[in-house]
Amino acid sequence: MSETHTTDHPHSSYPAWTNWLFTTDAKKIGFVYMIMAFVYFFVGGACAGAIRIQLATPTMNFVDGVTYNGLVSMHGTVMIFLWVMPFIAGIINFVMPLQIGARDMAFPRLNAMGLWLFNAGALVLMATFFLGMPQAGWTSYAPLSILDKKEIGMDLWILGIQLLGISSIMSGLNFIVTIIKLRAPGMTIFRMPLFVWSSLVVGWLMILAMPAIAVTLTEVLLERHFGFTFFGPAHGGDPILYQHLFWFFGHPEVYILIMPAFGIISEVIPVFSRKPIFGYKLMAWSMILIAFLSFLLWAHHMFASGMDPRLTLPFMILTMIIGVPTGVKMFNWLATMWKGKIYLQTPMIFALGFLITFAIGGFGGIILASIPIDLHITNTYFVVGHMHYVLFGGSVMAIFAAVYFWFPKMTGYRLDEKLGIWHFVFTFLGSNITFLPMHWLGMLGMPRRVLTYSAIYASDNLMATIGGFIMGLAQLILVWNWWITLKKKEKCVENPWNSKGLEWTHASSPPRPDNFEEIPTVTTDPYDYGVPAPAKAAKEAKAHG
Amino acid sequence: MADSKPHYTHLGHSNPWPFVASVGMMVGVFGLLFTMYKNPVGWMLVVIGGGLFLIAVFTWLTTMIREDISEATEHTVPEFPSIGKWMVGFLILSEIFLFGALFATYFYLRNHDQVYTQSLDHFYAVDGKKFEIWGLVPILNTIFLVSSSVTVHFAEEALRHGKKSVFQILMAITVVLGALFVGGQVFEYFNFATNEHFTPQTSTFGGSFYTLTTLHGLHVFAGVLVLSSILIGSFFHSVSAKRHIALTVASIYWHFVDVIWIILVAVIYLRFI
Repeated sequence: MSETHTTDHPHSSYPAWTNWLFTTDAKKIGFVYMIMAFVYFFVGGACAGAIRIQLATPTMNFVDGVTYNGLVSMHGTVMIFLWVMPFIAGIINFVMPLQIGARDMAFPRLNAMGLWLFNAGALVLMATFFLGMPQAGWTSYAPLSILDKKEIGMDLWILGIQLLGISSIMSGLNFIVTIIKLRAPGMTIFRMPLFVWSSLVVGWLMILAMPAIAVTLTEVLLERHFGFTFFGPAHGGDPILYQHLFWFFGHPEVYILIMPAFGIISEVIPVFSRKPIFGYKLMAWSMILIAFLSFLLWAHHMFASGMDPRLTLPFMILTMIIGVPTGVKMFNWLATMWKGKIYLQTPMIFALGFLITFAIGGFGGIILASIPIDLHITNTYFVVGHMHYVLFGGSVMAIFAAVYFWFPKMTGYRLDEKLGIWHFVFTFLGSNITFLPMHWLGMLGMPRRVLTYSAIYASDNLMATIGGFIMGLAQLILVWNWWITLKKKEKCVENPWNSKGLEWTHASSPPRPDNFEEIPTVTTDPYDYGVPAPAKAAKEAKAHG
Repeated sequence: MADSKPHYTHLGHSNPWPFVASVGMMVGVFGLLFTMYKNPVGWMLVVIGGGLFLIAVFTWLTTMIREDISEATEHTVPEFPSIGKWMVGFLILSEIFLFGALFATYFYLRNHDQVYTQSLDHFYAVDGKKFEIWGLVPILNTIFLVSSSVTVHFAEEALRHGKKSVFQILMAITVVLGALFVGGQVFEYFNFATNEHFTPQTSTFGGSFYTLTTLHGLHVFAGVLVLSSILIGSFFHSVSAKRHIALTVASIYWHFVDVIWIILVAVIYLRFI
């Protein structure tokens, strides 16, 4: 931090080894978030690997039932709370202040607190691997979660998620206030890049959805250990109440996971199509509409659980309506590429992969929203297939696009193109081979979260297992790519993609601790490609490419 | 609109306290876990973790106040207030959803109890008789909290006009009223539990009542801590007619806590809905 020139205390008074522990720099905080996210990505992947080995044949004896339940719970929990969410927090911390022309977040110390609370919560969750894994799945439905009051994994799970929830609320508040207050001069609200828009919307979702899970899990804890009654039917409680409260958090949560992906894809596609994004304002409004609707359709997870039948139809209709703004985004991305000069570099290839898999996942969602169909395929592998298409094919694909796109910004080095393409090929093929057969299995009636299954599901399951291992091993290519890129230390040009984003045009790679030498004044709309000389920009891009 | 001048505060400072506070919370969480499993180590961990957390937050806040006094120049003063106000606004929004989830629990359980028993009286019953919780203590508590909202408002007005001693007197009254409220609540719990056999374990209504009022009581308690630290800080010139953002934020929060109490009284105590 000694390069900082804006403060009265250029030298930190703490020893050097505390640089990362005590930092309040949003970029360093973002780095720690992203590195930890990737660590947990492999932990969650190991859980998935064990699950897929167990399911490779109908009666495999790889793990016992208790371990299997624990693996299923921890796979979901780790992937959602310790991989996608911290990666999102990290990339927003790194990129968003640069994109709005701010020197840091509005509350740097609160930001640091959010980071370390995340790490604390993650460690509490990791303790379950040694003390006993939770048995109730990542949803921890009551009464499953309140039956065995001596199950230590369940308590660890609750307490860990509470810490993560507090961390998310802190991050959410910080994102919102930063975007509202710290934009550079000229950066009006409708000149913000769409990634900033997605950060703003994610902030809103975090501060409004996280309180619900905090309350729900507190109630579970009180019921487990202090004799309160909320969900246990024996004393007048109702397990359906748990589902209502949980999904009031849980559904906005899945939009927390996908919203930054929308932002990332909206950044990548215009750069590599050398065209402004199609329908910029509509893209921003559709994100707001999706976020708003996401609070009004939680009960579509509960069509089969039993609730007032008069309520089911509105939930079904609202769920289908959310397909409209999502479709708008899809068509706008396609229209952005239409007649553009498309450069197929790694970030763009991942973005194209995102468009395909996310579209398939979205169709699965529309199918599940329909009550007559849902009643038959709810809690089958169809749901597993659908949610992995939107979460892996959506969020994770976009995360990879972001990694390749912003790696030069973060480090000054550019990841190897060839390895990047191989990474994509195996990830894309592997994920489709894994998750597509799950739809068929679901249609045939295979229930989710089972240890063994009937022999009629054998071939599709074997296919999914093979695909899963292709997908998992493909991630080693990414790690190898990081290794050789960081070892070679070949500085790339400051703006390898020839992007017009503020983070590329006005900040060095990697950026200085206070981001900008001088705060830029914004005079144009974002994605100002093709004006005034489209051919020239394209030629430059080629020269760098 | 975006500010023309970015804020330079704290940039580049390392700060150990967020890290220490998080470690404290993690140790405290493990302590809570051990306590629930009747392990004697639990209490020690809770004390160590909680202590670390409190020390960290205390040092964090006092550093902030000291920085405010020493380097609050043109840099921080013009924009920090509005950042603080936005912050507390969104925090309140988040808190509304927190209380909302508990209110939802209460309404859901009440309606479902009705399904089985055909009568609301059963939901509110203790020892087979309908139990009324409205009484002298909640009436007094309402008076305390509403009047403290008034005094904190006029304390802020006084500070804006530079009348520091008036401000300090009104703040002291506010803090005392808040503390009386917390005391009243503790007394009420004690009375319910020992004399009326109404505990959180009694019924689903007991659970909802105690969780809602305790969450609110904790908010009042936190408010009392914040207001009294501002009052103490004012003796060391941490606030002035020009620099009163801490008080503005705290008083917005205090009014919010007051509004939640009024809703609580209307819904839980008087059962208007």
